[in-house]
Amino acid sequence: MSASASTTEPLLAVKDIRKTFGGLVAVDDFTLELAPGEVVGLIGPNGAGKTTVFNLLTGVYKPDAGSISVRGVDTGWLSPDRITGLGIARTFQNIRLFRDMSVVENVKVGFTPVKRQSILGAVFRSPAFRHEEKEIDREATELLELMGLQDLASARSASLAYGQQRRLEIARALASRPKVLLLDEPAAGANESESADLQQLIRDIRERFDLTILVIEHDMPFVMSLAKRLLVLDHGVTIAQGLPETVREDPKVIEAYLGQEAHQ
Amino acid sequence: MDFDKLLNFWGHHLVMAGVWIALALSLNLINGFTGLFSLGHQGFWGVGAYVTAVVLTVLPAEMGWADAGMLSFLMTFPLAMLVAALFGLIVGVPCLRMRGDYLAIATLGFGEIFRNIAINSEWLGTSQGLSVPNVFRAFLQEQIGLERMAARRAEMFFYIALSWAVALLTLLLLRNLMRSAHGRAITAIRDDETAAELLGVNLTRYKVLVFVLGAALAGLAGAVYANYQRYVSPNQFGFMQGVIFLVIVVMGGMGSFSGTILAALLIYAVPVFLTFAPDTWVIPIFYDPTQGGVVHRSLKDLWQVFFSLMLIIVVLLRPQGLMGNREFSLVKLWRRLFGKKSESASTSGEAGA
Repeated sequence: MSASASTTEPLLAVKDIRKTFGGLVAVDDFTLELAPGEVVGLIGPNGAGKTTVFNLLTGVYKPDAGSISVRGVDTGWLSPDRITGLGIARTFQNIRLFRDMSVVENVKVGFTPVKRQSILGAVFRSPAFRHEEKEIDREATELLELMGLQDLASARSASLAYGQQRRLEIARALASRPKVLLLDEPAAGANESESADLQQLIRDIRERFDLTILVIEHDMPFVMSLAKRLLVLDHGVTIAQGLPETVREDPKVIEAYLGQEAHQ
Repeated sequence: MDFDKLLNFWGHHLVMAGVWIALALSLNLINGFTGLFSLGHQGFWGVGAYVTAVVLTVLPAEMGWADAGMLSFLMTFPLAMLVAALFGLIVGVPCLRMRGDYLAIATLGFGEIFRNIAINSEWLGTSQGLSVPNVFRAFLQEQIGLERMAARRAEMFFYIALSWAVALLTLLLLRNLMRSAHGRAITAIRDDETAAELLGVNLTRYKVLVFVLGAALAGLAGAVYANYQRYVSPNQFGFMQGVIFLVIVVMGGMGSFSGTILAALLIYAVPVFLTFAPDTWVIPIFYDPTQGGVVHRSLKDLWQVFFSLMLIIVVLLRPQGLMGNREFSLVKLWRRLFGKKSESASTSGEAGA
């Protein structure tokens, strides 16, 4: 697998993107290439622009400068749903489940880019439609089992505990069969043992679904053990990148974190 | 009372109740299930009705054709749907870039523009409206050879069946749509537009679909209405009529088919049953010395008061509407009445968020 990784083009290539909101430069000259199978951590103090990077990658925001391509396709002015269709899926820092829908229905929405149903087929309950629905049912149940949520399938998503909601978001993201998975603070609010379980879960799904993962996380031990490579953002600028051990020693990184803590 | 009087009275209300249910259901698709705020549904209904009148009255006269026959009659239904869908598309595509209140104003604008065009167009009969020939009765008498009275009865039964068939068709079509990937995408849009889009839901496609489908179904109800009523005029499709449909949707529950049907029947039936109130049932309304003190009014004339009262009660006691976004189901009712407490009782595991 590693042999092929070096010859293929990057799954995700971000070149010098920049985003400003009014006078504030949220992300400045951000560059990133993700090779197939990589797990990369995106860290930095609060307000460093990490989630803005996710929003740029998924098309919620359009960069003011620079380019983003997913699997060789320039995402330029593609709408977020088209970009998702290219094989990129994400979770949200502030959980965005469909609150009025059940747990399993939330996952089923995730199949939108990969399971096309004809409207007439749906209205007239054609055999093809019923077959498709059964398949969606089965695959959604599989994903819930993987996340340990199968017993809650028909519960209202808003009634789930915080950690369960985060796992449901991952299941929902996996439904679109992404190549690249963007995780926005998956371990937020988790205690030590939950965080360890989550690490194992993320390793498992990476293996199983052949994923490339970009993860934002504040939990340092978590991200250091998971990611082979780290990028550190501060005030929108990439101040360091490389192996976790090197990044940890980087004076600029230490200053960014300690400086922020000093201000708090 | 003899049979024909009863049939005329109750038959009329049955036909109209069916039309109202069909209209409220298709409006619920737009406003309730998708969460778009349309105030123009009466306009799409009117388009369907006017298409019927144009096909059966205006076109034969203008083009010098023979009087409209059964074929034209049957054609009014698909044509009304098609033209209303087209209007849905024309209004929908530019309007769907707007959100919330702006969309409401724009769709309201469409309804009023349509009405004003009808008022000011000689071709569409100005404010006098257009009459629609009774093609179906003529068919029954001339082709089938029924007597006049028999034909009248058969016609009434036909329209009762037709209007409820259209309501049922609307229900089944929308229910099946909502129980598919498309329905899940539509619900997702209502819950969280941004998240839906990031999961691959094409917002424009679905919003336009919902608008066009809702308009087409309203147009179909319009064709039934115009053929039955045999008369269309601009003030039948006024803003207040649209508000009544909106009230039905809100009262029944945004996103519940059974709630919509219940509310449509309730709101339609209350004024009908009030007409039975005896004249002696009066309530004091206001004090006016020039009219000799307290003025009383008969309950009959007060259906609008009841209408408001019902709405106030529902909004106070059940702000989510009679049914919320649930559906009535005999199975669930049975379980609730006779079943044991089961897994439906949600295990509350809400950690601090």
